Amino acid sequence: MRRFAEAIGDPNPRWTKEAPPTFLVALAAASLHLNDAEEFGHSWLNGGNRFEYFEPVLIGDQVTAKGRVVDVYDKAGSSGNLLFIVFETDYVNQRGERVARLRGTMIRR
Amino acid sequence: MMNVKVGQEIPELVKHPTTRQLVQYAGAQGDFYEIHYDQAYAKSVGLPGVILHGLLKAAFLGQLVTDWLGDRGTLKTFEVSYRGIDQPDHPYRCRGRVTKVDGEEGELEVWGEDEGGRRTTVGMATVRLGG
Repeated sequence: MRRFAEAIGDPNPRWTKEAPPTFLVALAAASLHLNDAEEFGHSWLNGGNRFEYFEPVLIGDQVTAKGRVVDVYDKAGSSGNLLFIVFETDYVNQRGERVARLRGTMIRR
Repeated sequence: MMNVKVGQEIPELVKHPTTRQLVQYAGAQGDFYEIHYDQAYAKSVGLPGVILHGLLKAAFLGQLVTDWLGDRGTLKTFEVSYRGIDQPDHPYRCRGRVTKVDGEEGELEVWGEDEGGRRTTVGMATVRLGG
């Protein structure tokens, strides 16, 4: 968590005790680089991310991430077709409390 | 909400990302997609050079909100949509404005601008003041 706060350049002392807002993405690959999707197009784009927070994540917590693909669709773009993969990850702490949910859209083009 | 009014702009945050920071972030997040540190690879997929991770820009906007919020409340939701690419060695300006206040609940629009004032990342945060 200290390395993450250093990497984003956020010196807030609060992040020595508590996770900064986007920290949970470091626990598991948020961008599910699916092999099948890599047969489509040549590069990835991140379309967007949405975090929902339920409980704080504190130093010493044990957090488990469980992700799933919730939607896959394609759309015509200005330079060819784009493949959209929507994923959702739930983060649960050692007391079984859901601490956060992350939804994201990865685009293959 | 005390001292929080609709339309109020929150203090801006200007970040100065470098390629070194992108490498540092790639390691911290565990995202080693080459477009963020390998110039030749980035150019081979049609980019002008290495670009910032979308999630690094999200982290900058997260800092914008938590710096403003301090210990007055908690962040409930935070979402960002990436509209354009940004390259290192150019300042990245994070801004936000209060769009809704309803009792203890507040909503802000947030965005990141490049040097030309283009909003390359736009988003929204909802907060609860007072705990």
